[in-house]
Amino acid sequence: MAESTSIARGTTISGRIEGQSDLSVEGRVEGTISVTETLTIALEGRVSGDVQARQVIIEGSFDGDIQAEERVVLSSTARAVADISAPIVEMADGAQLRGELTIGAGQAPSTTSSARTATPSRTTATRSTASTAAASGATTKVVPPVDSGATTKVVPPPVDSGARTAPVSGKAATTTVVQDPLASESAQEEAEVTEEDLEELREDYTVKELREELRRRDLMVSGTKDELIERLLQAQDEETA
Amino acid sequence: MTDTVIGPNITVDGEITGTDPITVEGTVKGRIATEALVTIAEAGVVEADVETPEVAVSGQVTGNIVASERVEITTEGRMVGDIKSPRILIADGAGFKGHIDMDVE
Amino acid sequence: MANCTIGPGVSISGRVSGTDEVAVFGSIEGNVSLESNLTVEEGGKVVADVDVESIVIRGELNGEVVARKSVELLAGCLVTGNLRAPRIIIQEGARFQGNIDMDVQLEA
Repeated sequence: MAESTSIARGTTISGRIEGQSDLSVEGRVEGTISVTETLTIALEGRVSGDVQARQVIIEGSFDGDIQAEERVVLSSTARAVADISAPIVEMADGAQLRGELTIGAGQAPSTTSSARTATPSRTTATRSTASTAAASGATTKVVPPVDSGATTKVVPPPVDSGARTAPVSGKAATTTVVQDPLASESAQEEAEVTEEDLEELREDYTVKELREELRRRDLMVSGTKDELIERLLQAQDEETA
Repeated sequence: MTDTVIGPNITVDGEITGTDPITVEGTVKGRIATEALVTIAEAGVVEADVETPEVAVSGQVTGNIVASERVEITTEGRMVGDIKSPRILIADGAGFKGHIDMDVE
Repeated sequence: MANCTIGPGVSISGRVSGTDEVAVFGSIEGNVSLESNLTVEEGGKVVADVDVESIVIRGELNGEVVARKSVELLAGCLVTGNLRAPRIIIQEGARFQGNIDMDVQLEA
């Protein structure tokens, strides 16, 4: 029988939490959580990091990735910036979420999910270590943070466009990023935001793709398509400078 | 059954196709092609070519109508365009400008 | 009841715009822009960029959705695309793939 663990108010844990039981967080967790049962992030609870569980119930605030075997429930008080993947997701009126959501099992992988797996190497790395550890550990244990990679979510990513083959990162990367449709078209042009640049981006990129690019740079993903393009080009310029 | 109604404050710019009756109370620009009655209500504005078995015009139509069965323009109806149909009814008071083809031998 | 209804046997390709509510039992391909509510009923299919006050989806939708008030995904719906709205409600049994943007403010 699964027993339950709770992280009380006023307690902060940074690192990895693994277990074969329910876990309820009323305090703060920064890191990776991997439980075989239900994770509840209570109203006052705050979790940032990657989560794997059978079921996740969010009443508090969350920042990171969630993979649930069964379901994810965002109650009316939930605040999340998250990529969520689960067979069932429920979201109550009042819940706030920004991020990619994949609901329903057995859906054909779309272009979005393949693009996503290509970018954050962080996700796959932490997940594989988490699952091997979960298999060996029977009880809930708290592992001190080994690598800072698990908690860097809130920190702006390093300007390392080699690791992040962002389509619009043409300037910061070398000019030989050929798979990148934008870079191949505009690599030889100047970095200034010209009308043609705007026009080209508007035609070549969907709002979704633009948002993904912005998110990758930890920039705001709200606004009209033109605003997104402007923001992206600006970021691109700064990377070049 | 749920019939299609393009409501008074709606504009469709494009093509409407299908098998069911369509009532236009709003605006349709483009083309309407269906296998049932098309009714252009009093407030309806159609700037489109219409292909259907039967049309009843009580609103405004700018465009051509090809109806395999029947076209009726009621007293309130106004139409500018060509009509091709074996049966054409134009009521007293209706407005019409265009060419009529009833396939007379 | 919405006073503009696209019946089950009807397809529209192009742009649907206006100030009234629209209920879709048939299909729309293209673009929907309303100052009101859009309902994609069971059996209805919308492949379009949608810009509305609010939207309720029981059927299928594929596209970019921007709603000024709310988006509701009801059980049985199949939605792919991006949703942007201040309120988004998802029922158990809804199927969705894509991005959600509610302009969340996390406490620092």
